[in-house]
Amino acid sequence: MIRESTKLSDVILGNLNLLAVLSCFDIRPGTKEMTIGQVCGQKGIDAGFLLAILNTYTFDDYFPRIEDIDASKLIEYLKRTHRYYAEVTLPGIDSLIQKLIRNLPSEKTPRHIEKYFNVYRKEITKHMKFEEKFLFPVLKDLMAGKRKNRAELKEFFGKLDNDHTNVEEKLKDLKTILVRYIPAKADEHTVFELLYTLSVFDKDHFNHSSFEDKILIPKLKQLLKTSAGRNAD
Amino acid sequence: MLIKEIVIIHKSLIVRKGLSAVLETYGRPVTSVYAKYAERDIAVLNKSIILADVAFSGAMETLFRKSGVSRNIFGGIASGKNAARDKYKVIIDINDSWETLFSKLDILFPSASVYINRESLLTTRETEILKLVAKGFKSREIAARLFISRHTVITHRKNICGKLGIKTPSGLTLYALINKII
Repeated sequence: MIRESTKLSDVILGNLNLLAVLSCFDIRPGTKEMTIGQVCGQKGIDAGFLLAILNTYTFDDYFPRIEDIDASKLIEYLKRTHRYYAEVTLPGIDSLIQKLIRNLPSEKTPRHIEKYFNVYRKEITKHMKFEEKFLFPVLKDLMAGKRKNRAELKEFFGKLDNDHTNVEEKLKDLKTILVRYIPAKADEHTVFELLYTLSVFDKDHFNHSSFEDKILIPKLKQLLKTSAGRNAD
Repeated sequence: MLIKEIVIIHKSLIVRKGLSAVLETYGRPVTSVYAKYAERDIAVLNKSIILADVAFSGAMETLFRKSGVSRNIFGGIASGKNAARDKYKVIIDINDSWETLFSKLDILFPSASVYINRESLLTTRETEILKLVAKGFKSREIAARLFISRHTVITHRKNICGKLGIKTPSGLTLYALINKII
């Protein structure tokens, strides 16, 4: 397990994929011999929260308890990861697909992959926008003790698409198809980089969705139940 | 010869399910399962490895003669002694141990046919359904077009996804485009 006393450099060296997670906390490499606790102290970050995130991304059998996570901090973190996906990950995948297209101008397969990815990108972007526009504000309001009227909640639940399975499966399908059907003459470094980026994103997005499904949604239900109880009083 | 289908014909549900599970573990998933010989589809049997109850041996003999199917691709399923044993390439006994069973399957699936092309695993019907899925038709619409039940379409779709390792409709469309199925 990663602890407050663990050196941040050891954490990064143990799992380079955590650089993207750390970037969302505004932590960059170059922290010398500093421990996680020290870095958090310097940057004003809740060490317990950061540790819960880092351990989730590092150990498959670890997941924090709902009561150990501050939902408002989690919302802020999820928003930052959305921004990272939108500004870094998805454009990165797109530029690798464009590279494949340039590499194989006479082949249709990269063009088909581009079209598939564009649809996927639109879908995941729409999903993230929904969360930022509806899910997170509703949760914040409920946490602040604000009541929601019946019409507001009806509108919210009508739009709540809590099923991440579809976007996850689509990403897995893209990897499967790339491995099986990318023309053999495609530049192998680009194909490797694309597959690697997709795999990291797949794992990252899985954890991201787990935080939403296992922490935010139960929290929302719990708050709605309390709020309904108060309304009845 | 590249074997595309694996068919089980046996009256016992337990034998059908059990043997299907064994073949799944062996790495050669069963494509069609029938309870009676009469339910079989000759077109499918013609290009299949068939594991049939030895009780159907008479009917199988007729099939050999009519369709010219080699008896080399037949396995019999038996329990205890049975006179028809010599008609089959191998006889799978329901009392066989794992080791015996797997060594018999090795005879039935010679190494050349083990490395099958997953794509060609799709039956004609599955390819037909894949085309419609890839064009965006819903299960209900496919059922109406092909005059089959929605439940049958869903079963075919599950089999298609299992064989191709692709789960989403848009993934299937991409597969179909790349492989020029549509």
